Amino acid sequence: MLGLAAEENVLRIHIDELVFGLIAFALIFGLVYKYAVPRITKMLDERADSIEGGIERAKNAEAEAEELRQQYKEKLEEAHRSYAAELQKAGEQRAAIIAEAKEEAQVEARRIIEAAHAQIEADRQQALQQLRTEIGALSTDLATRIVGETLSDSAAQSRVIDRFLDELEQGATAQQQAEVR
Amino acid sequence: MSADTLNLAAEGGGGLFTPGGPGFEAPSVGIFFPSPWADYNLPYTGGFNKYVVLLLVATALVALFLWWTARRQSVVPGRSQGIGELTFLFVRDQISRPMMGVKGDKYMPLLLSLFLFVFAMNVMGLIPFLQLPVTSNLSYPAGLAAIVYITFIVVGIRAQGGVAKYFKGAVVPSGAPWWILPILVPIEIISNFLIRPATHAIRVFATMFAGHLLLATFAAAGWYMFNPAAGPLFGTISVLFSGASLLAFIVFTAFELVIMFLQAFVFTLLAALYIGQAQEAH
Amino acid sequence: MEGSLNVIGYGISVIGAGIGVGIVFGMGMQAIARQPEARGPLQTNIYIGFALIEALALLGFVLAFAIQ
Repeated sequence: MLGLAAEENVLRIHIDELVFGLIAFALIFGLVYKYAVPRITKMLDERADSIEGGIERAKNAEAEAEELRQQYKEKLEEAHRSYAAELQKAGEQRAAIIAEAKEEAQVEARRIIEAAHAQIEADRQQALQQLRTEIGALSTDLATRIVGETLSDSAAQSRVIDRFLDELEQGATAQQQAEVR
Repeated sequence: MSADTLNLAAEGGGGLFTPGGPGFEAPSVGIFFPSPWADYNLPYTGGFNKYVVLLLVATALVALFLWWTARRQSVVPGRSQGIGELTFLFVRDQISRPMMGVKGDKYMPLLLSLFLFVFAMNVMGLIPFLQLPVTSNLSYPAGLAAIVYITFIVVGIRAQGGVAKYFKGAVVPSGAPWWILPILVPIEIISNFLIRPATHAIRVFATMFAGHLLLATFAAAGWYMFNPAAGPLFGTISVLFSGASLLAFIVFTAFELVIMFLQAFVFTLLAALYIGQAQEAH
Repeated sequence: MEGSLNVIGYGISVIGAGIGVGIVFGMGMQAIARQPEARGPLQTNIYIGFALIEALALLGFVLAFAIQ
């Protein structure tokens, strides 16, 4: 022992020091209880809340995005469907237009052909008529030149002409019938 | 080592290899009895001594720490707030929750203040020029242990719904055969209500006491062996010895810091354990 | 030599407690390593055992100083 105040036992409990210790602890406890812990726990709770709120918000946003995506998908499918329908309709229309045009063209063609036939017939008739008169005159003229003055009496003359014309006509009818056929 | 030790060592300083010099005198428990500056002259009082001053310093440090860490609070923590939350979460997740579960959260203020206060009082042993752990005076841990003692008894009585119920649950172990009870009940009484608070206080005290004595011994030995005047050969040897002692002093100071933290942790942990045990139904 | 025999008694009393505390924590670590999910109750029991065993060493310490 070094002669300080070492007469006492090491395991002493001094009342004054005990009381001071308790007072100091009471001060610290009061500070912790009233000041530090409420503030810290409040902040921890707030942080936990905000983190949880953030997660919640993210979840909501995700759900919303998913819904939107679904909507877009549906719209896209609908567009595809309507496009296909339009395409089919257009194809049908096209076919209808083509058929109509074809029919019209055929009708037109037939009409033109008929008109042409009629024209041709009329021309032929006219040409025949003209030919008959010309041929009569021509053959009379020819026969007059060939026979001369011998066939000048009118009775014989008209007889010969008629017979000639009949023959001619028969030949022309046969020819026409072959042409039509 | 306290200033007293230094002075004492200095008076006989440079003793090694001095013929007829003073022998090495290891620091005794006298270093834990600093002379009071003002004495009350009452029985069982220590007067206004170094311990009281260090207690004030420790209290001020803890108060400053609390004010500094809880001053500004924001959702995104700053540096000081982070330290405060780290301490709080350490006490909650390492001490309170394992011992008491979530229902122990209402004892967080008690545990946090116990932890901070004991740690601050321990750390007083490492602050230069002060260097005397407040807990190496049994008065201070005894007061804290008494607070924990009263708290866990009150909590137990409240939780069990009656004084008789609580003491019966705490003293009579369930499932023991009747004929062993006469032996078991006194043992339980002694261990739960006498030895428990006593060891709770003495554990911190004894560790701080022994650790501080160890550091004081290394410091005194280092000073004792520092004797360059003992001739070229012996002087070199003594300086080398002294250096080794200084190195050991530094290493053990770091070790002491760990011990101080651990003892504060164990003190708080046992407080939580006792309260948790009293809270549970037996 | 000066000193008190009490201190030797304290040293002897600490041997047992030291072994005991070592066993408690060693076994506790083993138990936690085997069943990490039972960490909570194991830790509680480790510290109960530690406190009880160290009480013996502290009794030796107290008696070494109290009886002079």
